[in-house]
Amino acid sequence: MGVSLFGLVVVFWAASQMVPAQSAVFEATRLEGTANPDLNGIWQALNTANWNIEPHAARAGLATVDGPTGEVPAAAVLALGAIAAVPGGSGVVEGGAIPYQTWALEQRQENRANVLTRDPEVKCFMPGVPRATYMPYPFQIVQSTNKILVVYEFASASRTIHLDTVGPSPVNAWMGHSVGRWEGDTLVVDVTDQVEDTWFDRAGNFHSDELKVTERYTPMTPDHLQYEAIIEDPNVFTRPWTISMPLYRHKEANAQLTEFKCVEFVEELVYGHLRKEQLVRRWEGDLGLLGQRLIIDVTRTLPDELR
Amino acid sequence: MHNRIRGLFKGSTLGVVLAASAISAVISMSMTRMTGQVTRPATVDGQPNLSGIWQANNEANWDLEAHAARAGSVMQEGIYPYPYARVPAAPVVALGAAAGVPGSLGVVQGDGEIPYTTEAAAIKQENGEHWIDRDPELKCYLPGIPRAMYMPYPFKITQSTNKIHMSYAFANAARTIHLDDVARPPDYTYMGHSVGRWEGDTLVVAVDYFNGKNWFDRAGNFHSEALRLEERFTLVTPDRIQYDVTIEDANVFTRPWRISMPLYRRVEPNIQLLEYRCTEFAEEFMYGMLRKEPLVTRWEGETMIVDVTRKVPEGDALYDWYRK
Repeated sequence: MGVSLFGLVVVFWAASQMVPAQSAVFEATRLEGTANPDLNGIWQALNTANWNIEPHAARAGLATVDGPTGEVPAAAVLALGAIAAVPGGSGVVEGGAIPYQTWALEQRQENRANVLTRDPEVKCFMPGVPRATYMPYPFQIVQSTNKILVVYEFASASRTIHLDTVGPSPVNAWMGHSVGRWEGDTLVVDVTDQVEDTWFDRAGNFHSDELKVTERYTPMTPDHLQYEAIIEDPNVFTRPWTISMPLYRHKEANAQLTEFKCVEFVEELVYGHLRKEQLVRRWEGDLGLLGQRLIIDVTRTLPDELR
Repeated sequence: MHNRIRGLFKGSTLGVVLAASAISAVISMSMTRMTGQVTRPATVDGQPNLSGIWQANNEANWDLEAHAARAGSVMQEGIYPYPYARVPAAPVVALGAAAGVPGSLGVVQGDGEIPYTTEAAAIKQENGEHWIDRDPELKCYLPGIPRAMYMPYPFKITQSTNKIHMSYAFANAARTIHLDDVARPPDYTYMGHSVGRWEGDTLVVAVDYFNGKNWFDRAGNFHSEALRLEERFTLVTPDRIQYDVTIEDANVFTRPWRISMPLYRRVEPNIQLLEYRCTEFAEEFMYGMLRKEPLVTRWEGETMIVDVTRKVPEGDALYDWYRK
């Protein structure tokens, strides 16, 4: 073999320079009694993925009209001023752009022009996977040996990740059917049988009912998970694509999920047009600026099939 | 010597060196992927280095105090006169669940209540009811301290020995914390005047000279120009600061009170502050009535039409001047 002592010294010196001071590969605490990492806890993403998973600049609103020099907020969101504007983000899609088929790009464009009427989040539908992971609300992982329960604050959505053998899903569901396994310290989850009605974000990114998502949860430090999701849908995309982001553990002593049962919150939006007497009609604001008032009038219309 | 050096590049020795560097490269790549700013020094002049991009991850910007979730940020009475039967009002009804207010256990320490004087409590109540008219955030005014620290946008800390600078994505707000001696500011401002010192490993910052025009959150919690803060930043782990603020304002509160929360380092490798110049976004909202022809008038949804009318009092000089 002829390895010289000098060569060995060089090797060890070089290796010590290149490996960072702390332990290079994080070893997570095990779930008690098992060989797997303990993912129990309350987690949340901290990015703008729910606004748009692709890289995007800030915008005046989710619904806009053309002004003389650019977009301005539409009537539906005007009164919320800077709060209804869309913050920019560097995106979570690896490679930047989602590889849509040509027809699908047009569909996305149409979705984007009608976010307030079409985004299922607005009507508090369950967000599906992976959107539930990066909505701006916390979620909780409850981990056992044969099942992992993930409970999301938004709409109290939840799903069970089956680590044991289960039959196939009998029907498509909003939160899909999740089957998981451990690959080393990474939890790998295959999510199938989702309905086609969920979006990936508030920017109209969508899929069909043949969507398959492969999630990977890897502990990186005691308080960070690296989350990746590989998206496959041959009806909509030209190839599989991946999103990735860190998930942050909630560290406040009193961290817990609170209820955000938005089905009741959106009843007026979804069903208010069916009231005999319209309830939400006019709002007059006092902007405190130059004495002007901003008046919002809401009229409800019955869809053709109900008239 | 020559032969020894040549020996280094022969066969198996070279192979071992290459293998070691390949393994190290893989390891350091996975570290870089997680922590992004891996080349940052742990200390600056012996003090913990707080530099980096940080963000709070809570509902403090909605309401510092504990609160249940509710349907909308602006509400009106429903069919039944009970408080829990209120419904989203016209400005927010079209946004559905996206304009709901998430619940929270709050960040106010002690008994969780902000200790207002009786008069101030009435003002806070009114602020909350007229949130959409009065919250300076909607008009993209500079958010002040501590609000800038827990808005749902990242901010960047750049730490040196005599100054620590904080730049906020929201409205490009910024402040400099002076660790050295500086003169008092010439005027009261939105972001106040920050003077800092190290107490052991904790950065302690005294902030005053506020103009009193800011709110603490979207619930109408407010203060006057007599506001004085003592902030404490403690690096608990390399990726987490415990942020603690003692708040005093003799015009508004009966005693000092505290808020406390973790701030999390944004660890994705491509993190950077992006612009959120909301002044331009809020222009139509604030000044749209000065257009000769109104621009934002109607939005039609599937079951809803939203009309916007602007009303300006008679004899408004600025309005008349613009429309001449």
